[in-house]
Amino acid sequence: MRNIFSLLVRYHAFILFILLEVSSIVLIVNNKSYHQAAFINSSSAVSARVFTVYNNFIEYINLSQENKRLANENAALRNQLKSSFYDASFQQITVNDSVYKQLYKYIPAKVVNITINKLNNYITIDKGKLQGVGIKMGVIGPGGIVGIVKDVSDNYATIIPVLHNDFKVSARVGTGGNYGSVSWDGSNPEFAQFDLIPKQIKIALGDKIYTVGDSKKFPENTLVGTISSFTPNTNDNFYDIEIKLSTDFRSISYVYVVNNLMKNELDHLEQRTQNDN
Amino acid sequence: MIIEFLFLLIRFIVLTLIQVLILNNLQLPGVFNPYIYPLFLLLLPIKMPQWILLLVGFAAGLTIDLFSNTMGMHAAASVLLCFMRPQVLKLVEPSGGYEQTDKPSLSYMGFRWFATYASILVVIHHLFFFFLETLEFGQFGFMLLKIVLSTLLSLAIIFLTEFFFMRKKAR
Repeated sequence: MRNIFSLLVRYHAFILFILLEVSSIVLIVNNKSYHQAAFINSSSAVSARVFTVYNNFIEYINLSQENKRLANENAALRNQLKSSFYDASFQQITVNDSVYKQLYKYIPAKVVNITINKLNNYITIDKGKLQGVGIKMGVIGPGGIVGIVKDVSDNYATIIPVLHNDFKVSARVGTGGNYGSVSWDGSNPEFAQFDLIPKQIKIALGDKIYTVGDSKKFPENTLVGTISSFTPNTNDNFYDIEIKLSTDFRSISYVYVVNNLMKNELDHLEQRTQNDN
Repeated sequence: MIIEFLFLLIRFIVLTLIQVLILNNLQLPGVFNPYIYPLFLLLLPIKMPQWILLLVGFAAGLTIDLFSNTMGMHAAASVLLCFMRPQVLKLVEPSGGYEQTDKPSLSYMGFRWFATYASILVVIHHLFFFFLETLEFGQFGFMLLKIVLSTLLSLAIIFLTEFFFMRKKAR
């Protein structure tokens, strides 16, 4: 007994070292699982407060640039208003209002913190549970898709952007082309990888990549990016495609969280079908 | 004693803010991830007992983790740095040992001493941190480039900071 005690005293630093390293590794591993709510991240109260104060400071500097971008977006949205279209089909006049049911609801949010040069990047926004943001909702920006909500607190949320190892989304070439999968290899925040497009499909530089509706997180045909380079892979049947992301993560400061109002219903239905089998 | 503690605390807060508000947001290519906060651990008193050192390292690392969404990675790297620090201090010990008044800083120990001391520990810290960060990606070539370039940048920033404070003390 005395031996054990003297051993403990003698190697107390080493034992403490091992203990602290193990708890760090546990933290790292715990945070890896997507579904588990992480308790230490930048949506936690203290760090989010610091980032908000700092961000309010910095915002003044970028105000004019930001105004310009918002004005551009307003113009683009105005172009999509019903009033800016000439109604060519007289059938539509008889269409009942209840035919159109709102499917997506957008929650505007301000980016309070963002990293882009890590291997796993995160975005923190200033809207959370109380404003209707929920885990696994999609997030889009003025340019196109941004990411997926990972964790929410009362007034803040953290987002896994495209620039993260765990991010994957189905997408297709053009609005009717082949399905593939978008992911990021960690090297350049302007480009992402687009896989699973078979070699026999014809693609061209500059082809646009859009999301597909089956992900339920993003509205169908949200822009992801454009093909910037592609080479046929010699080992398998697919292309190696690099796409230029349409969202400029270096300057993004306002985003929209996408709330799919039918998601619960879809999830329930799919769950039930799986259980029946 | 209390003044010394307050001084450490202020240094910690300032370095943490510089780290998370400025260095983490630098618009540099992905291979440059400079870290200044290890300077805080380098400058802790020489005679500090190792168990306190380890706990302080863990707390400091966790604080940085809190702000950069890295969950335990900075904590792990900082604890390793603190664990290796007494050995490195022994390695670079001047003949005749450390004086009671010595502090492990540039202004007390001179450039050559500080350069060796800081380089060894910052390299250990960065190696371990980027190793943890890259485990899941498996791009080891990219990691090596990142370790080399980020370490050089971190050391440059740490030396500049130390030079700045040395000049102030001399006046």
